[in-house]
Amino acid sequence: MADDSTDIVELRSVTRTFGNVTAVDDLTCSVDVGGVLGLLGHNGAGKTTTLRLISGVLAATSGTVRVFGMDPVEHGAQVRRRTGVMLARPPVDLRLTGRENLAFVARLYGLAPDRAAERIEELVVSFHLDDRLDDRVDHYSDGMRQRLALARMLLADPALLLLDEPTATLDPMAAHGVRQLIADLARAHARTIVISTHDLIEAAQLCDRVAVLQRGGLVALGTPAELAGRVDARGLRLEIADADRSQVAAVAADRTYTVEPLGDGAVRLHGVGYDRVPELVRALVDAGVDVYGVAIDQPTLTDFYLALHHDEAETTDA
Amino acid sequence: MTVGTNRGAVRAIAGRDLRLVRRSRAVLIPIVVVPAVLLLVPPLALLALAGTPDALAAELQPLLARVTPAMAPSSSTPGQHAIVLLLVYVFAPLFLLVPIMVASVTAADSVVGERERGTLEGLLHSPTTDRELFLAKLATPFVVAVLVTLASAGCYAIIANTVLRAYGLPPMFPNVVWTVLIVWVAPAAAGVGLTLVVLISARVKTFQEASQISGIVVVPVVGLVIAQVTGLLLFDVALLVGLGCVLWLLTLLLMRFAVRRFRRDRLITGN
Repeated sequence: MADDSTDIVELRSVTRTFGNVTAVDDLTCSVDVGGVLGLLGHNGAGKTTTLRLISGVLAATSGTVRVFGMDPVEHGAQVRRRTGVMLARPPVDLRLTGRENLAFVARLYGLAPDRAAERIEELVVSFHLDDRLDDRVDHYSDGMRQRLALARMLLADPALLLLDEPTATLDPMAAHGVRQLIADLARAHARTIVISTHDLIEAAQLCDRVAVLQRGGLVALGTPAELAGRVDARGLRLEIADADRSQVAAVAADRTYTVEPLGDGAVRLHGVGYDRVPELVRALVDAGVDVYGVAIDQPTLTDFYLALHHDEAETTDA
Repeated sequence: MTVGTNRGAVRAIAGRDLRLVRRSRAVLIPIVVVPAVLLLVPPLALLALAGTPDALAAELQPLLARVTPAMAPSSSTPGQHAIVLLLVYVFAPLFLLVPIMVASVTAADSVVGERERGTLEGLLHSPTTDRELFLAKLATPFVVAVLVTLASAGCYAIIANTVLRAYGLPPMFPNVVWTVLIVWVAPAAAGVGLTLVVLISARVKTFQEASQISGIVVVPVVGLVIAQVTGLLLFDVALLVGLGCVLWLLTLLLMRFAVRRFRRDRLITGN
């Protein structure tokens, strides 16, 4: 049943089709103990299907899925007992109170009554739900419902967390709180996490590794820094007077740099080596350009993602 | 590897579903109003007509000419015959509508309603097997249907005995025919209604849609009502035992088919 791998989640050449549609296409990736894997991609890229395959809710059409060393379809109940799932739409029962929601999950996971009461107490305090615990959930705000869903997910102390766009429906403050909690779960509590998200900054903050999916297939896998490093997006951002743009263009042309206007008196120069920055600034000043600010833009995961999909769009157009 | 049924999880889901039913007007209204209309209004109407039994007998003359209700006292008048015929036989098939309707509405809320509310996927990610989910989803509608049927039967018995007294007849409820109907046939009818809903649950999108489709089960019951009214088929113990056997067999067959189709992947994809 179990194998010797240290991977909590392992997908090998996994394909899942729905009729003629291939939702996940030959996907291979893994998550080690305590790792945080981000799944990125457009709607329909296969992120949610991948999470469902890991949880054993869906079976792979071909390939192998192993979670805790087990087949999550054959040993679904055992896998899911150690797995917590959070969905974009919190799966909380609106007709029940917060306490009833938590008590239900405790019974579902077979927690002893004493242990359940202890965990509920801990979690409602952590998630600031204690003063509204006996209110029906249909009177909760979206943020409170998501916090309750998080508390439900963590009640049985799962080792693996599957998070499907956990901040998608939240306002910025609530989303920030949820992100902090996920970061804490990953770092302080060493949970293994697979998170699907559209938020590239969130992915860069939370994930050890990121898998980018396109039409079900894996097109990139690496740490956020590795992926960002694949983009030639480093640029030199200059804050200048609008009247000086032509001089900047002339200086840049002499050095074969390209100029990207950014608006609001700013331009980005591409192709400038880090060691060439002082000489360039001197040349601009000598040419009469008033330089108000200089900053080196580092490429980010967002740059990588946009470049990847820009290339895809160009290929499609061609 | 064979793993035993996690009864704690089944009880947890069924208990939660029962609580959700109690808090849903969309479910409570039909399961209270329909039995009240079907089973309480007809005998109450007879009570209102208590002064005119012969007029009633005249109305039912074609039926009374062919059928003599076995339970009517030998010395009773045609008017009393008519009352016994209505209370004991003609209204009887209406009793089968109650468990079918209650089970169907509750099962629709329990399975399709769960999807509509967005909580189904959370449940599918829980540490349960498909079989445990299936059992849990059958348990609540079945229990609710049986309890509502028993409560309706109790109320009907009180009112029917009152009507019988008003027409100068002895109380006749409970009796063997009705006991067999309530204890043996009605739960089987509930089984047919709820397994049908569970069977279609993966394909329908809304609670209303599921309730409407399951309404098809009512058609044969309407046939039984017509058979009673026309005197073609009067309920007796042997007939009810046989009818119960047929319904239980149908329930088991539907359940065997439904349990194979009640799988996570079908529920989540709607295929």
